[in-house]
Amino acid sequence: MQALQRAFCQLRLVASTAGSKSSSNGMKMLTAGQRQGAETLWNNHICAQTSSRLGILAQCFSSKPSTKQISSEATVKTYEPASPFRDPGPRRYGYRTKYFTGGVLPRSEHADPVMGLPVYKPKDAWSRKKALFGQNDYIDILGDGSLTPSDLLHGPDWLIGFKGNELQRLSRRMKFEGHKLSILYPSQYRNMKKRIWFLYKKYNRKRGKRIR
Amino acid sequence: MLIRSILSQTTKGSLFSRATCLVSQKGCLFCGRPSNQVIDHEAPQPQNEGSFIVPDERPLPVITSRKLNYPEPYLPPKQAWLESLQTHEDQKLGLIDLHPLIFGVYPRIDVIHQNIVWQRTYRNINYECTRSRAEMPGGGRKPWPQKGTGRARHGSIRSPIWKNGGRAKGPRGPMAYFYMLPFQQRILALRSTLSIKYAQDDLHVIEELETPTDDPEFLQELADVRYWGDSVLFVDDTDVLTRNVARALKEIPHFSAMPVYGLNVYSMLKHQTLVLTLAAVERIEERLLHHMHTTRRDSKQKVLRSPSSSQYFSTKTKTVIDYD
Repeated sequence: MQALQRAFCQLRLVASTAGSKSSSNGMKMLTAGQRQGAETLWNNHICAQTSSRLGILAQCFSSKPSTKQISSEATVKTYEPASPFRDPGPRRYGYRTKYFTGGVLPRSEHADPVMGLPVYKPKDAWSRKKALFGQNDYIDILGDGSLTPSDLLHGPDWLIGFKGNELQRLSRRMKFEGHKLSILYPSQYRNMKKRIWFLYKKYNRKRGKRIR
Repeated sequence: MLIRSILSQTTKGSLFSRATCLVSQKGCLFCGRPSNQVIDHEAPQPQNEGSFIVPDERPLPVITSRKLNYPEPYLPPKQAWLESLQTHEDQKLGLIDLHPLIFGVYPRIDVIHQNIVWQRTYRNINYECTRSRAEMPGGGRKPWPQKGTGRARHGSIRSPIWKNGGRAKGPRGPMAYFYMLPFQQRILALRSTLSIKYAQDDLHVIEELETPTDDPEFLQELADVRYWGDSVLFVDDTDVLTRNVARALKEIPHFSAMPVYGLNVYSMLKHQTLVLTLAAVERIEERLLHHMHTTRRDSKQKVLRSPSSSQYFSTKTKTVIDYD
């Protein structure tokens, strides 16, 4: 553990000097210090996990931004004294990033419209239907007496001028078109008969097993 | 036609000129026409035997009173000017009496509200329908045994707690919201609304529904000059419009026309101004007073005694005889 503490002390020293000096020199020294610390750790048989932690720690102390940052353009590292080795060329040559890297606001103006409230369309309160709404509702009073408002309604025959609960509605429908349904739509007829019997029991059974 | 154009020019003159005209020539009080253009009915007129003279311009005032049916002894009649649609400016053709029980009752706003609710509701039909567990296919078999599987107990895959199951207590089938308000409540609402329109100076009586042109701007200008507001409802006794009025009203969405039998509370309240023809006033009063002063039993008995119904019965007896 003494070796580890020594390595930490070395790193702190390196970090303090790096702050005062230029960044490139600091990087060099940092890497040197890192390597030295790692060597000491390996010599003392310390596990690899601790060494990786140490590396992260070293990065935290450094003033240079981390190299793990995602960037679309691969940059070639340049050093103050020129590298004696051959430049390998631009990295990832010919690769085009498939996602937007320009910053915030990823939507362009030609993209699909943003989902939101629909565009406000004022309703026409004076359309032909609305302007004459309610016409002939008093025809039994103001007319010659031959018509009533229920004569002018549209809808299913068994519902014209009629209001009732479900059983009454079904019974009336059976009366109006039951025979037709039994021939043309037998399953609908069967379902209606089932429903009528169910509702009859539901409405009329006050004692015994209730039907809900 | 020539006289009418001259008259329109004179009536278009300022109030000052009209007043001077009245003072100097002693013109008509209603329309401001000079006295030489107003025909006095009470004055003795030359009678030509054999030849019938049709005057090209009608005498003014046309009407100064009206006979009211079912007169109300303790209520004074309401009065309204008789106007025309021939000129932009208001031309008073006369003064007519309106029945106080139709145009001068206390406005029952609660009854009007009931009527509006009824008008909006009674024709509605709700077509929403969902299938119950009994109406869906399948679901007769128990999906897994009651015990031993470690799963919850279930008896049908169409149970309402299942996904794709039947609907419990859902909307059932087409359902009508039909109901009728009591007959007299509806009559009262019509009387109240007509009275409101009269009291607020939104009721105008015209002699006939006819305009000199089919230009929609003429009618709009007329409504602007007379402060009739944005929307006007014209009511006539017949259900056939004259060509000019029909072509003008077709272009203006805020102006509507109705026959008397189409008149209703909702439309009267939707439109700012109600314009009735004289024939329409007669018809409305006759219908409403008839229903107010007769019971429905009376009218039913009349129907039974009417010649058409007796004919119906006689034909029935005839068929019976044929079968025999």
